[in-house]
Amino acid sequence: MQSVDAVRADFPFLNQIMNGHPLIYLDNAATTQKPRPVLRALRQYYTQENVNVHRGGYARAAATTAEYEEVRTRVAHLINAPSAREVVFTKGTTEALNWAAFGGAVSLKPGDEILVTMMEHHSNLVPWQVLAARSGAVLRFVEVTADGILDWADFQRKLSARTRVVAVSATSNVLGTVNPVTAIARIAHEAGALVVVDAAQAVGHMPVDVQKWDADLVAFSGHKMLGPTGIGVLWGQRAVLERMHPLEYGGEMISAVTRDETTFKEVPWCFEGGTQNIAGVIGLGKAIQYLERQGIGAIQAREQQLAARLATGLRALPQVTVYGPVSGKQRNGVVAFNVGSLHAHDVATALDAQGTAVRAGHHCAQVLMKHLGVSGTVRASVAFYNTTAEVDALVAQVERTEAFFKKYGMG
Amino acid sequence: MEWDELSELYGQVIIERAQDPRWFHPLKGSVQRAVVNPTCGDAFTVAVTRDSNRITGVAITAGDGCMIARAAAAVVCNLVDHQPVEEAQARLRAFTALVTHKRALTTEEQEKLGDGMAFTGVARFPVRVKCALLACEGVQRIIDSNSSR
Repeated sequence: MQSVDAVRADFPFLNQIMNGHPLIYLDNAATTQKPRPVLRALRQYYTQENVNVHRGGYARAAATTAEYEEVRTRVAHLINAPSAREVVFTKGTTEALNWAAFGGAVSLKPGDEILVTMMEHHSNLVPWQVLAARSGAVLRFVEVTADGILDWADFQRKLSARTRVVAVSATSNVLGTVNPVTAIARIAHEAGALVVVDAAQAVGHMPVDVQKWDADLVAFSGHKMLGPTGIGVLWGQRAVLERMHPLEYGGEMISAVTRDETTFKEVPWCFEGGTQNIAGVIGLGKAIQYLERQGIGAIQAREQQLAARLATGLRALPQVTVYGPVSGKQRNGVVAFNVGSLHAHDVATALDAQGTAVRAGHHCAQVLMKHLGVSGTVRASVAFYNTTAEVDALVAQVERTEAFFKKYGMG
Repeated sequence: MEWDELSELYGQVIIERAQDPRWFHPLKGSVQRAVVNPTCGDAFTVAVTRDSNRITGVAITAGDGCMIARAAAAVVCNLVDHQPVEEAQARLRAFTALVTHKRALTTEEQEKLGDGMAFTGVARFPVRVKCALLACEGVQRIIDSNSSR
């Protein structure tokens, strides 16, 4: 990987002032910043390559279409999918997970069970909750231990022949926990369940190998891996995608239309109705190229190192509670914490005033918040373009924030 | 400096009001409304009792939130309690105008808002405006919907 200074020079967003201070951007789990090659590619598409794809019969259309389909191959390569035909472009992880739930990958009847975990993001919980309510299936939750990791014994207890779906995050957007997807998928398949993985916080941050995982469906978002918003991927095993039905019908996903009936294109194009986010796809392709140039393994190591330093620094402050596994166990770049009895929002405003961007709230994980016994947490999330100085600055700012409110008897 | 700005926002008044339990209790016979700030999870149940002319009782019967939301809830309850309905509505409108910086307040409004003036600094942190207005909007909706009957 390049030096962090060289990397940061690639991200124009990082060079700005917020509330009179150089911005420290530590909200990467919400969205990541975009490097110049991605920004250039977006501009280039709209100024020089802006034609629709899979349609026009002219040279420019053929070229842009080839560029678009090449990204499908890049995505497949990034996640070690056996074929680009297993990569479906969506508008994001949420759409991909909704398609996984409602697209016919699984058909449920009363008494069937869906198993999710207590640490799921709403996008990998609410669709299954709704599917359960509509089908009469039962939604069950695998517990999380006091350490913030998946309770393996509880998982094995709750998995049964009635389990038709196991839906799990590859890595938590709050606790920082990395889940053992390969092991989960193995025993889920032994029980006959479909395995759906929310990989939104994983792809681009750690090596992801969908064949090694042997999951059935995997969802992730472009904007969380240096790509534009409005683009995501649903990867699926060919046999699973083949038994799904399209969720959007209309132009581009058809083969032939008559008054009486329509035949659809093959997988994956039957899932990509209408004009897709072409610029988003192209931007995603450039993001993948950039990530691969830096090295996904190197990115993972840096993010883990920064997160470990942050967690250690915060844990050294007496009033601070850091959630999730202690450093030493495998974590991603997310560190959620609270400062004494201060509300997360008040802490975040104090950090905002010092130029630091973190998130405060329930992080689309209200079930997890209730389980932790809090209304919300502060969440800092690093990327490989953050620095140790930034992480150290956050720890110092949290300490000053605590002192500020303590003056008034709060905290 | 950030601590000056934060001190404007988290002045003594706001911090004291945030810790004031006086308005957080059940309220028998009240019309209730749940209000939530989905961004951060602040959630209250606001409750109002009234007769034909005035607000006879107001309280936060459930829920919790950040310092700004709690302090604003306490201030709002204090502003409307035992006020004639029209006066209560006027005070809530003035509080909203102050927090959002939508317009300048008259001297009379400033006097009536009293401790509510401590929220002048909220607009400096736009994300917190919703926190400051959470209980206010809930109470306003109850009073306005009652009035239209």
